Amino acid sequence: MIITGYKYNTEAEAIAARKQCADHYGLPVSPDDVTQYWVDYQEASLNSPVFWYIVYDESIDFLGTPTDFEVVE
Amino acid sequence: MYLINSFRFQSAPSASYLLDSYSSEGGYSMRKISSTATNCIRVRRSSDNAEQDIGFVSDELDTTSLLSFVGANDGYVTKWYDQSGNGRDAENFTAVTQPRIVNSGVLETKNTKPAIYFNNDWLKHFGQVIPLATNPFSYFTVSSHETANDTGAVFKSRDAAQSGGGNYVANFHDRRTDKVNFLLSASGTFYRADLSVQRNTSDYTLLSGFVDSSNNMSAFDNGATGTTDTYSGTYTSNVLMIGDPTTGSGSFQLVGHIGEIIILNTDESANRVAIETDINNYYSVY
Repeated sequence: MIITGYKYNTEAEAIAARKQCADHYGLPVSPDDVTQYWVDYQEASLNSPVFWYIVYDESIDFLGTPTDFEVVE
Repeated sequence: MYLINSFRFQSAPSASYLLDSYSSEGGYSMRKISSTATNCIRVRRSSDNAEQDIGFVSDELDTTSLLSFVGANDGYVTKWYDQSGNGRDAENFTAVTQPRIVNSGVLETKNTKPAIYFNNDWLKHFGQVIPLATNPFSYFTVSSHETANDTGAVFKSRDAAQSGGGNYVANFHDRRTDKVNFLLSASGTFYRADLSVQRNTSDYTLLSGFVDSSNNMSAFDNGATGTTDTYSGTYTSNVLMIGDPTTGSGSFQLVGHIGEIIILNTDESANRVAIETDINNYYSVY
């Protein structure tokens, strides 16, 4: 499956990118809120080597130019 | 001589709620279906991402409070409260995949009733097991899928630890010639109970499915009898997904509205007509 998005070699990098998006939108607004993140990351656990990625959305253009990559299903 | 009016001392007749009559393991609805329910949904507004719980007025979603809170913006459902009393609320902590209830200040509706709009979005119950993993069980759902010749999952229940397709229970809103209603994947084999006819429309459909204690599956659509199957093998199920958060070839993301999902850990096929009538009287599906 070809995914358009942002690819990270470590989970820590993906977590940092997720936090960057949440911070950009001021999330969470309140500690009691359900919404904690703007986007979430996923693990390409069947790829070798394993990597982590965030699917592209136009609302996170500030992460840079997305790329296309294959995620093994 | 004193005459006592017996009616004077009776309390006012209470409204009849579906889940007061049938014990449910998960009840999600845009109307009040349990006398103990107080909240319907929790909503995030797009203007500042603030959230607020929305309850009921006259046993329907409190749309006045909802539209006042959201204003001319969009409103997204962050939590669909479980009315079964089991606390199995369905949530999504990620903004971009939350389903919508208000679109630019306009309430999302289907058949004139409030409805949650899913566009590849989802809600999950992350915690305690929804007991779809053992028979018997039953489900009743009101949904639309608004992409022609396509299918979307109204709900899936599977083992959270599984990768890929795995074994699972699912209720599909299928507009294809496959016309799947109830799919059960056990020990790597698919078993299915289908619609009575292909329904390639964007209309609401009332779908129901049943498994008895002998693994016999049956399904109904808008009160009509679909096909049957009998499963064997095993599967596990410990997470409930409304819509389909998965991607790839095994994904069936819903593009449409959902008004109600009721899951019971009993075979309610004997009470099917009564339950479907209650649901249809509100949603005017058929």
